[in-house]
Amino acid sequence: MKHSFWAIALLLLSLGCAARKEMSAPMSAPGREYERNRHYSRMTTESAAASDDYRPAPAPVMVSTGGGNAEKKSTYDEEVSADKDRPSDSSGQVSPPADPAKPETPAQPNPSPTVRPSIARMIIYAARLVVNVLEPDKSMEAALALMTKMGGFLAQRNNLYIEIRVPSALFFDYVREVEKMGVVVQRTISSEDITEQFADLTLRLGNLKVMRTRLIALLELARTVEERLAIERELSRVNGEIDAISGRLRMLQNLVDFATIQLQFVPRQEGGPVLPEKLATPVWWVKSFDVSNLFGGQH
Amino acid sequence: MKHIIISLFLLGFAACGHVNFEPPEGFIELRKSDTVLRLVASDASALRVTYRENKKNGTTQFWAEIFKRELTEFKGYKLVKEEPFREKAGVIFELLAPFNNSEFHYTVAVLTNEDDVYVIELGAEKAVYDKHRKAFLDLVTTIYKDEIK
Repeated sequence: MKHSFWAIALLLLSLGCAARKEMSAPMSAPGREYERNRHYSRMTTESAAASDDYRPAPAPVMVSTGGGNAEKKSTYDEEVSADKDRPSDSSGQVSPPADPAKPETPAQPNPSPTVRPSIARMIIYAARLVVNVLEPDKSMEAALALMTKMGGFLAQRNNLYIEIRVPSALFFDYVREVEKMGVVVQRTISSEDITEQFADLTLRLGNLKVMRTRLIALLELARTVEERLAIERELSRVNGEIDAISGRLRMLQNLVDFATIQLQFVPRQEGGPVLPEKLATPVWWVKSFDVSNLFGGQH
Repeated sequence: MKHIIISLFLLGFAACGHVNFEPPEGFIELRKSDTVLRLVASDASALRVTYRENKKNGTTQFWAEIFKRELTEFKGYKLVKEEPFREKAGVIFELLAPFNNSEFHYTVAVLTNEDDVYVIELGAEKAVYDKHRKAFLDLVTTIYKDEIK
């Protein structure tokens, strides 16, 4: 009798542990994917109420191509291919992506974990360019004028260095125009896909807003002062999180809408190598042949 | 007497230079040394002739390659045209200077024989480039006839 009691107790304990382990175990990869897809579906349908202001910006596109070296072409071609499915009008301007808050087809529960609902990618573009020019001041003026024309703004300026923000849709156009001003000695172009981060934050914001609505409803039902205080404390915490996430979303949206370009003009050194990775000309006097030298009258 | 001797010596030294060419039409001689002649036009276009002694195996092809590399890959000029001059006697590069999309012309001719290397340069704005191109070619032809041939 005693043995059977202990056997039953151990059996119950092991069953309880197994059930607990199953509940607390991390979700498998397909499971996480399925959950994320559910989040995306919910986001597309619920984000209208949650955040009308956070619409993904159109990704940068090349309006036209021509010239340029192979490196540039590969970069730009990649951009074009990434956007080739996006509808465009006859002038070559790409129409903005569909508003995620108003999808063309109503979001359906995702039947398959492997199928992702299509949402506009949110990409932060940045570039750093060092350009060798004959007349840095004039080039700087031209770069700033182009920035204004494209609807960008100046973030920072320090002598021949500027950090500017231009609309992401015109990012590659701007880079290409600047590259024409001289010899590019350093070019770094980077992109960061924040689609998932943005989606997660939007989802959290939506959930917090739902929670806030429930807490307000609970507040009306509270009978004692202690209950009211507890609910108000929670409400305050939720409001704080909502503010923080809203701010973070606004910042991300701004980074997506406007690409950051760091641009430095370097005066072309007479006789000095423009491309440092090349071996210098082996005959010294050949280096003196240059327009600035020709007009400078040094000989 | 001493001054006269020195003057005669200097005159003789100057006469022995390698760049004693008449300025083509529209240009004046601004400066001249033993190996460099600098000419300018009233519109600020400039011509320059540079002489260097050639070395063994210094063919036109060798010098053309070294100049093309220096001007396009190091100086950043855009090569518009490259044409031989009098078969293997020389080569002429027409280049564009890369600033602010301005079409600034820089043309360089390299003429060689076994002993000499002559480099003739023309720098001009686009508006006046065609006008001076003829003067440039006249000067190149003169150098070819007097020194290279």
